[in-house]
Amino acid sequence: MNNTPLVIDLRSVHKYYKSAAGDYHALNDIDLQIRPGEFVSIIGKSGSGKSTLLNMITGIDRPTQGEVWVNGTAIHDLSENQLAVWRGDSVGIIFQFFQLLPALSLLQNVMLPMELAGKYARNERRDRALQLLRSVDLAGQEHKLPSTVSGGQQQRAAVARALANDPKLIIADEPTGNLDSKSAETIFSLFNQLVADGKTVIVVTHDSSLARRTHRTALITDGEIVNEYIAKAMPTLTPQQLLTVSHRVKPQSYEPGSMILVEGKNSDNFFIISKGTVDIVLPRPNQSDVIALQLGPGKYFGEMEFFHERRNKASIRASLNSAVEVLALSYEMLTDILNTSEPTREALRSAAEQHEKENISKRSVPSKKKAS
Amino acid sequence: MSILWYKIWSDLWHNKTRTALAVLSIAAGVFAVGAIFGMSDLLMVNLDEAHHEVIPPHIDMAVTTPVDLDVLLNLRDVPGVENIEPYNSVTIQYKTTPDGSWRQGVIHMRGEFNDQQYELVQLRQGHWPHTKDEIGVERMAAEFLKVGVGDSIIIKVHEKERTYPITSLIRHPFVPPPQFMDLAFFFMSGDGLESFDIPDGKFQSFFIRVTPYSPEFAREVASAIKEKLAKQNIEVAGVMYQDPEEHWGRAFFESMTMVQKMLAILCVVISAILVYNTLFNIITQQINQIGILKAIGSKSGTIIQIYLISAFLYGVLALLIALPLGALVASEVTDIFLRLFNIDTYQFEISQQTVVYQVASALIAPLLAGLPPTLRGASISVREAIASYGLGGGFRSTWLDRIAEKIGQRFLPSHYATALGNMLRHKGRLFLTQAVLICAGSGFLIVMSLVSSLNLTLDNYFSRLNYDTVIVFNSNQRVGRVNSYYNQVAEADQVELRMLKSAILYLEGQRAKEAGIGIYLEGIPSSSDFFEPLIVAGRWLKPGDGRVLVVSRDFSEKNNLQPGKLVRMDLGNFGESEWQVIGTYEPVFVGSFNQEIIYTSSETLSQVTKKFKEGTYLYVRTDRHGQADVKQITEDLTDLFNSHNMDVSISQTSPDLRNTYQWQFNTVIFMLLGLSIIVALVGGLALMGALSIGVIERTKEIGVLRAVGARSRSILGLFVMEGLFQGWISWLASIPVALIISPIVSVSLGQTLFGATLDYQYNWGAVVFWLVVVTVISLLASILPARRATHISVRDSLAYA
Repeated sequence: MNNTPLVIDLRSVHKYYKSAAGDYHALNDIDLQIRPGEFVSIIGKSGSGKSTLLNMITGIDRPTQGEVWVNGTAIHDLSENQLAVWRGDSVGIIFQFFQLLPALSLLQNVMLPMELAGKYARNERRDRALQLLRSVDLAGQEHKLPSTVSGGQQQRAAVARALANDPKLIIADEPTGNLDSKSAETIFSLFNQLVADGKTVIVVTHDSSLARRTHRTALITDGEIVNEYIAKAMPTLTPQQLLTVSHRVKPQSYEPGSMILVEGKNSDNFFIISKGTVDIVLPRPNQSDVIALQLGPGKYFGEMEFFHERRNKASIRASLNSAVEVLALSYEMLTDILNTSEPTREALRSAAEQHEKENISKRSVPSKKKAS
Repeated sequence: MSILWYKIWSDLWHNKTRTALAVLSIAAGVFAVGAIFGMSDLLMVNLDEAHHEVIPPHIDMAVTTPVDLDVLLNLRDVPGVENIEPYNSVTIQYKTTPDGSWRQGVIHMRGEFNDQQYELVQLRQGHWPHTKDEIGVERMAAEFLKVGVGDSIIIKVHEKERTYPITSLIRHPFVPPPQFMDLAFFFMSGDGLESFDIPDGKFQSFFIRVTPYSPEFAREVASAIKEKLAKQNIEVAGVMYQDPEEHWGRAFFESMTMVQKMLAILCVVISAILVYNTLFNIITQQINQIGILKAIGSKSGTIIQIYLISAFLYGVLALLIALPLGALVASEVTDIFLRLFNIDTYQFEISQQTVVYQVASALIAPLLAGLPPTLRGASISVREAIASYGLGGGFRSTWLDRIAEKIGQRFLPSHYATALGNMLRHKGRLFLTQAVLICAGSGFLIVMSLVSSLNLTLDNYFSRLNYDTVIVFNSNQRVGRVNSYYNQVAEADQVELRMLKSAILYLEGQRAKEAGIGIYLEGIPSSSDFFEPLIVAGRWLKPGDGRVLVVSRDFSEKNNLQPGKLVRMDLGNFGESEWQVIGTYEPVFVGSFNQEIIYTSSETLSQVTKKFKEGTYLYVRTDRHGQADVKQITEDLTDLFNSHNMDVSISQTSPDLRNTYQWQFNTVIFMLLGLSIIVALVGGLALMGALSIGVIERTKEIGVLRAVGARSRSILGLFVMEGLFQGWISWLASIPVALIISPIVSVSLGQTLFGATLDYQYNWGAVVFWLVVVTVISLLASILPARRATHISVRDSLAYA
């Protein structure tokens, strides 16, 4: 179990907006934990609530209910001025439309957060700002106004500004949304570098190809975060279908070494692993059982049984080293879901057939691992 | 330089038009404060200083015939008299060139010019006249007449012309400005005056100072002196009182500048509204930047500082313009007025108190005005601030918008309908701009209605004056004699001779407070149609009236003398008797040069004085009424009477009197109009500012319009029409506002400035004129922003910042 303190911890966060049409539930019972050094993408369609979620993390907006902890600070309890000061010190924010102050040069824009926070001595600020601009490949452009440089250059300057006070957390809201692919690639490379330097980076994007390049992806739909492991397990489902699955799965926990499925017994659930590792144990005639495979978070089992006879084809247990958490979806509900998603049905069927072949072949192959 | 300071400076520098508009609008108000308050301050101080310098007498008394010096010096024994200084004043006719026309003048004589005690006349050039052939000229008159030391003056002496060389220019502190009254002052020695029948050593007038001084004590001493002289059968012709502390012109200027100060303060308030508008719009425009600043660590206090410093800097820049300009104008206008009252100013002066007012107006007013929008902007949340509203958010449709939409659809081409709708988008901004424009419009209409009321009052007054000129004899003349001569001047149609008698009016055992110059009882034939004063209470004289009086409204109010009240009149040698007030008349204007007249019937006055069918004031009706004609007829009559030893002291034509009054009004009116123009300019600046901000706010919208085919002409038309709509709506609103306020203003200004109840007339002509003016202002104010709008390209306008 990872005991590293969380950088971000959202607990049961709800956000309602009042509008002429009534209350709008922008965020619905959000729980999100992010650890230091993670590169997390938040992905979702337009209007799904991803920017609202980001605003919760940056303190730009407040939750109607719930708690928002960032680096151990309960930011939901801070006043506006306290939030401003906290942001200047602790968070670097990058916006989709760059949001550089138009009357200030790139250098001045980068120096501004330092002046506001009172960090760094006056005579250090300029040198630091120049160095940051160099690090984003803007050397020689420092005296230009934002309107006289390209979008990519502006965004790089915005990245430099976000790093002005050396924050541990960088938040970027659609940072490449307004850029050409080459500039977008440059920005993303910068983010990778920042992560490599130990910073935690959270990016909101609608671009799934960019999202896949992050460590984790939180999919948000209609104000709710879809369980990422469900999304990993069934990537061909639509966000709405994923949400439906999220609502229907039942979490189950198993102690280390405890059996989850026993071969030959009736099976009625499809399982997605959300934490820990499971061992797939195969019996061999006249030999000891073998651990054919170990599966981790985001993997699934029970699909073979779904498609064939509904009887367990193997025994599956929690690994001996750690407890396991799984999300169990009844076959009945799985049937409903697959009826609405042919690609998912095909993907699962294909996986089932492959796993069946592996099941058969591994029963006859001497295993290097011994089941205890 | 700190980044935030750079942002502040950059916002000012890179938006020069907006900065200029805000600075100029503040400068207008601060300038008005500097010019008006400065002028008032300098004027009062200099007036009083000049007044003290000449040691003004407390009492100026004249007797009917010249008396020995000893008689006058013996008056020093009267308790309370500090000292007495005798002098002589003789009215004359003079001309500056042999073929010039005769003009009226006064020769002033002192016993010893080098040893003056009171009302010091000051030698400015040359030497004091000390022989009978030498004459000095009052320096203001010399300037007016364009004569100087070395030139000559021709004076009529007993029907002969005598030339006197001018040997000095002398300043007399108590002469009317030539523009007020064409009455030049000259100076002669005692033996020089013998030619004018004033024997050397005899005097007809004297100055008195009392100790201890108080206005009441001065009147008591004057009464005691009159009594003492009466015992010696010496009749007092007239008494004038002077406040030794305050110049006689002070009251007029205090009233005038009070009104102007109010207008100047209004200018400051209006410019503060403009600053509010400007900052409101800046903050609206920069709301996104405020959000970013807060997102990257700026506290609300920092945001507030940024924008309040901008407001402060507007004020500083305005002060740099308005302070020297206001001081210059204040000094120059003060100089003009002081010169008018014959007071020297020697150097450029600045009123320190006014500088304080200007600094406060320039710095505090913008800060206060900028506070509400700044606080509002600083309190906005980051989320609201950086949210994008696409092409135009935050507009709400209200009933006003719906009405405008209906009007637009029904009556206007689509283009203009759009302009009308655009105008209503930001109702707060519209309200403020309209407030300024309506102030300007109403102010102009109110001033113009004051002008028309003044003119109507003059017209009505002079229509009641059924005579064209008045000639004053040096002594009583008989009616028969006058009648036998006057018709030798063909154009003199009818005459009426009236007696004037100085008197003291007692009210409930006390001496009445006299209105500065003294009370004269004027006898008018009860059946006379030469004068029909406006009766405001009671009635006018009628045949058969006994000892009855008709007093002015001003006098009646001051002394609580309503019709029906009984008073005692002391007519000097003719004793005291009881009279009854039967009516109150409205005077035209009360001022230092106007005498307080109480009317009674000539029959009654004759009975009381035992002088029948004689008088000194000859009212003349002429056949021709033009200014030059009446003047000529007056001169002819004067020559005629003088030639028959009926010496004329002074004359005044009705056209000249009207000009005198008109000149007094014009001085005030021009200043009020000047301030109205400043307010109008500030209104134009407000409109330009509002439209400029509209262009900036609607940059993307303009880009979209261009993208879908709108030509430059259409875009120009949108903004120009919006400007015109604003102007026209303010014009419409100004009319009822001025209709309600201008009667009140005319009445109170008339009282304050001129001491008269004006006959009110709303100036509808000015309404039309203002429509033209406001159309021009709106056009000029909208052209620049409209042209800027046409230069916005689609690419620039739709690019994200």
